[in-house]
Amino acid sequence: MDDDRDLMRRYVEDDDARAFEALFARHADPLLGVFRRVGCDDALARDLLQQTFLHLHRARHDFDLSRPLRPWLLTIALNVRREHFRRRARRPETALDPDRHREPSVSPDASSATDRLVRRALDTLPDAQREVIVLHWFEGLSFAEIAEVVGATRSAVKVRAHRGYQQLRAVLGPPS
Amino acid sequence: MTSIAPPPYDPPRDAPLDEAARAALFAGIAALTVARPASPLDRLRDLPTAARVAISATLVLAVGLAGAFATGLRPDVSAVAAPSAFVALAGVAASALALRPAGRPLSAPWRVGLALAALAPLGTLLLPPEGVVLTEVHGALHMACGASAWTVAAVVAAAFAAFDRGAPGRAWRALGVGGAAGAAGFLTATLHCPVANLTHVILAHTSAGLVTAGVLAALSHRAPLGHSASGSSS
Repeated sequence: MDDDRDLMRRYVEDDDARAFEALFARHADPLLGVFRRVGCDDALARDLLQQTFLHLHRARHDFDLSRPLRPWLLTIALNVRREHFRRRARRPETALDPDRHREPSVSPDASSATDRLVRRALDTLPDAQREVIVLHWFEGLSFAEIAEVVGATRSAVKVRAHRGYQQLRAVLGPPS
Repeated sequence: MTSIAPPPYDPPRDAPLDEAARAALFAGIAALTVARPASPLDRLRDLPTAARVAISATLVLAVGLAGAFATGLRPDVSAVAAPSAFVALAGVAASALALRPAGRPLSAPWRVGLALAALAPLGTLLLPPEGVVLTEVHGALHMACGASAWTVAAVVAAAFAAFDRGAPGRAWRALGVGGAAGAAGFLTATLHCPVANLTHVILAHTSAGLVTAGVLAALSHRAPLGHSASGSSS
C-alpha cells in the first residue's frame, strides 16, 4: 500500500487528485475520532474534518516531504478546531444555540457502557490536558510528536499527560 | 515524576465512516480544492517559494517607495541612501522569512536573515544622523510621519495574506510579515521626513514595524502552530 509520503509526493508534485483522495480515505476516520474526543459532536467533527483538508490543500507546498504527515495533519486539525471554538466564543450566545447545549463528545457509535464512561471521563479534563491525552492514548503519538502538534515543550506535555491520566483514574476507578 | 500511563481501560474506538458518507465528505472537499479550477490567488500561493519571495520583496520595496513619492521626497534624499538601502535589504530578508516553508529547520542563512530583519531598524539608528536634527519635536509631526508609515505597513501586511498558505508554523512567519511591513513603512517615512530626532524616528518611523511584528506574533501564539524544526519520529 502507498504510504503517506508517497501519496503526498504524488499529490504535491504531480497534482494527483487520486492521491489526495487516498490521503483523505486514510486519515478521515482517525481525525473524526480526534475531533469527537476533544469536544465536538458528529456534525461539527465532519465540518472540521473538511476544513482540515481544505487547509492541507492550501498548505501542501509547505509540507516537508521527508517528514511524517500525521503530526502535521493533527496540528492543522487541532488549530482548525481551536479557531472554531474561539470564533464561537466571540459570537453572542443565543438561548437556542443547539451547538452549545448538545452532549459534546459521546458518539452514538460508542460501543459499550465502558466506552461511554471513558468518553465522559475525558470530557471532565481541561482542554489542554484532553488534547494531550487523546493524542497519546488514542492516537499513540510520542510526547515529542505531541509537543510539536500542540506547540508546547515536551516537559509541559508530560505534565499535562500526568495530570490528565491522574484525573482519569480518579474519575474512572478500577475496571470492574 | 511518576510513570505517565493511561488508566487500565481500552481506549474506545469509533465505528468507521461508511463508504457513502466518506465519499460525500470528500466530494465536498474536492469541489473546493482539486476539482476546482485554480484562481489567480491559488496560482500565486502555489508558485515556488523563491518566486513568491521575489514578488513579495518587490512589493515591499515598491509600496515603500510609492509611499515616499506620494508624501513627497525629502530634499536631501541622498543623505539617507545608505540606511534606506539597509532597511530595504532587511525588508527582503523579512519577506523571505515570512514566506519560507513552515516546518523546515532554520538554517544558518535563514538565521542571518532573521537577525538582519530584526536589527536593521536599530542599525540605521547607529549611523550618524543626517538631515534636520531637531531637539524639539511635537506631536503633530509624530502623527504625520507615523500615519504614512503605518498606512504603508498596513498595506504590506494585508498584501502578505495573499501569499500565505496557512501552514502550521505561523509564529516565525508573522515576525517576517511584521518586519517586511515595518521596512516598507520605515522606507516611506525615512525618504520623506528629514527629521533625525531619535524619539521621532522610533515613534513615527519604526513603531509600525515593531508593533505589527509584535501583534502578528502574539496572534499567532494564541493559536499554537507548532511543528518546530526539531525532528520527530514517525
